[in-house]
Amino acid sequence: MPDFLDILHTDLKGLQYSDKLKKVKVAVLDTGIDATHPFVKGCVKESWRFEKTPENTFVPVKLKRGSNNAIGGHGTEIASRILQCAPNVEIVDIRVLDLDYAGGGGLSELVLEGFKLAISLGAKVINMSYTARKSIERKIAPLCEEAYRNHLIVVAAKRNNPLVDDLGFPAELSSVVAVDKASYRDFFDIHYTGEPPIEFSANGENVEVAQFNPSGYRNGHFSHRATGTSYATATVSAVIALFLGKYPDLKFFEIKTLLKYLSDTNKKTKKHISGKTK
Amino acid sequence: MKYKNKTVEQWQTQTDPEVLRTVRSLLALGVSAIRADEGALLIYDHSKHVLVFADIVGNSPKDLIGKSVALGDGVTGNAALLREMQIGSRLVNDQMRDVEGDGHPFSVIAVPILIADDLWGCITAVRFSEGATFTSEDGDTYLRYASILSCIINMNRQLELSTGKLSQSDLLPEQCEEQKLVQQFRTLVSENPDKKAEIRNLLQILGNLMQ
Repeated sequence: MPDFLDILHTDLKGLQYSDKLKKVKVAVLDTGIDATHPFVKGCVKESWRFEKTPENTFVPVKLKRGSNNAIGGHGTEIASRILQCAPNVEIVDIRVLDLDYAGGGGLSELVLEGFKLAISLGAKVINMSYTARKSIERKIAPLCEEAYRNHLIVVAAKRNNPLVDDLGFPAELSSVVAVDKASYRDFFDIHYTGEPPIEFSANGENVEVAQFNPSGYRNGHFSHRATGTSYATATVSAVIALFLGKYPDLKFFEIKTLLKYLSDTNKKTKKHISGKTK
Repeated sequence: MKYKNKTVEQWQTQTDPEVLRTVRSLLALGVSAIRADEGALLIYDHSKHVLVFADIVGNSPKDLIGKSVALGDGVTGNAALLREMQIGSRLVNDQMRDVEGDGHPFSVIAVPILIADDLWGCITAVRFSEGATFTSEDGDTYLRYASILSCIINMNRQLELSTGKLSQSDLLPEQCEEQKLVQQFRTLVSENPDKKAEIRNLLQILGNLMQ
């Protein structure tokens, strides 16, 4: 790997469509992805969900490649956002937000199982575009630490709701890259907030994402616009995947440094439309 | 009046009329605060994993009441599944997945109403004009109305539980679990009156283990 000072000056835009980029596995822990959607077709390499056993444990089940693994549209939206920015990404779809467990305590258990699965599958980046409850903190912190020590990058969204006491988990943990939304010009407008634990913001305002349709996509209407920290998180995951595509051995702290440098460069060239973060 | 859905019927007929009026007024205030064209209150039917339209503020046809949105479907379904506010807008001259008969809004805000950790429902707001996108600021404002509504609905449910108007079977899943645990503990204590000291010690150990 080149000297880190040389890596700092990487031209991200030039990287984006380079055919020399290595493929990078990004695990999307979410509502599942519709791999038939035109925006993500062919890019979802693995699809997983969980089933509950009679002993009340969860076992992962792998679906046939190209399946519709989606409960609702969020996962597909996130995957499409990542792929828009980083064409070198191979998506690993892990459904952890499941109908049967919505509204109940089971939700947190699925998130933990999905996280463990992502680590075992060797996903280099783990995208968590939602916030789990504070009750999950004690169990998810060791997993994030394990990811850190295995040089896996967890990217997590800050809570959209500013009225709750916490900023969301795992976003509050220092072993993840935590992301807030802002209104910026493009993918590479990443801003260092200076305020841990949510240290970065990216464009998450009115971004174009895939529109999920259980009836299929023959009549067009593939996309819509959405706002939220989810999409900012996906943006940062994608940018990290671009860096890793060029320099696969980058460590967590190096990634953060690169993001900080990107932020400083953006400030100098005044790329931000608005520096206002939410 | 004929109701399409039991959840809506229960809400409309069994909730104190004052509470219904207050909820409606707050919803209208919220809609006005963000200069939306319409707003709606949806209640989550746990048994079917759908949100059901329970009240509308604005000009939408009232036959939206009783219609349902699947959890995870569209902006509203996403907000409920993720328990986070969602804002979605369609691209100009395109369509967005939404509820049949809702007039095809251009932009939608959906905010979940949570009671403790349980999903109770959602409030939504829509704009119809082309290009009239809701912003994060609109979302934050509407969130504040949702939290007040959540408080009112929760307090009303507590009152209905204590007066017996709401039964144990009407509890939300996590409240139900809590109640079951509390009941188990009460039974343990009442059936072992001479073992209170041991039970207290065990609770202490359990509490320490949980930390």
